[in-house]
Amino acid sequence: MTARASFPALGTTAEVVVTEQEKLGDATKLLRAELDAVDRTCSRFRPDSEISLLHRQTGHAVHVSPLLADAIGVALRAARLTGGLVDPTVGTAIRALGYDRDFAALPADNRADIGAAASPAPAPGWHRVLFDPASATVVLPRRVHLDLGATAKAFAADRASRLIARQLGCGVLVNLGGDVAVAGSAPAGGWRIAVGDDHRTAVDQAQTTVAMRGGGLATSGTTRRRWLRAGRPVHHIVDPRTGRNPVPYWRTVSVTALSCVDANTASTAAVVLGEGATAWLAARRLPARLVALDGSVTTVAGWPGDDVALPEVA
Amino acid sequence: MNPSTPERMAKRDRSRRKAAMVTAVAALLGAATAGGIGVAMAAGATGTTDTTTMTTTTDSSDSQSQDQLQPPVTNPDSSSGTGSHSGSGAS
Repeated sequence: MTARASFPALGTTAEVVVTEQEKLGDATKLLRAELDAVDRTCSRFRPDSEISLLHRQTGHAVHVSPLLADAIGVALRAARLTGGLVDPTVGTAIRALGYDRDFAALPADNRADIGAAASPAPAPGWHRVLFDPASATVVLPRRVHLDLGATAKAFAADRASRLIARQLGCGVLVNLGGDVAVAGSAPAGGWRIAVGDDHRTAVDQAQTTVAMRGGGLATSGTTRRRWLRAGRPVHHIVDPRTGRNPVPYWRTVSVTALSCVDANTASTAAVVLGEGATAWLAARRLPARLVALDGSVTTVAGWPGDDVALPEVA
Repeated sequence: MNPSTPERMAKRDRSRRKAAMVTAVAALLGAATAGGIGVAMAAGATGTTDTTTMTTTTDSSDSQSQDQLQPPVTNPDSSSGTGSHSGSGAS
């Protein structure tokens, strides 16, 4: 019988589900410790985080911790494998959109206007980051700030699920705001994951439910983390090529992959790509479910068909 | 010409730094060729030198490839069970 626990972390809700009830307490402790380490290392909202320290040393070679080196390596890999559609050097661009503090500290969704910040500008480009993984050394060019938000939660979910499965010897699911990673032995019938627009309501308002036995599932969308900037709604997904939100096309994109990082990299890239995302995902054989703004559903590469009619988004 | 003029010393220093960079680049390229490190190069970055910038990426996960996003081992199924273990949506 599975058992679950949840708590706030990384600006969202962290959930752990284990296949052996008596291991829930230890699993929760391991997850908390892992997420605390990721937050202290990768959060650009904490002035005392390691990445904030790195941002204060641009232009210099900086030896970073193994955890930050791994997180940066994962983010640069995502950029390379998406041709820069998911690029960690959007740090300055996303701040220009107004996302310059923990989301909980931003005005509530669409209820207040933060006013115009700096003008959006294309990301400098991931290839400008000098990174030597062997020595865990990073050189950020001046004025280049990293935002690991596109990969850090999925990275943490992958790490935590593998750690828990390895240390406790049970099946485990870790869900960080809709970024789901599973490890160890799955329950009979697989892990059943409800998919919806919003990770907070996905279970109660499921648009579809799939079963998975390994790897990761992630959903990216434009219906959450929205705010007003100079009278116009904006959200947290940035097209690195422009520094602006991508041209609206998909409401949500859900992808499964061998890891949660790969699933989330692909789902974010798909939102940025827009109409071309279905072919892009199919070419990579990544099972995905894409919901367009008009509510129409497209499934590709082996995602079970559902085709539920959804209301159109204004 | 006096070999220890400031100009000569500066030139020698630049040569040494370039040589060190070339050595580092060669080492990284060697590691990349051996597998396990992805390399991308682009000209004109800043940092501590004015030479070509090298970016390398590692992969901390157990099974991820450097070359492509990896599909799942088995595709997801339509769930036939009741209830859900968890939910995924935008956050």
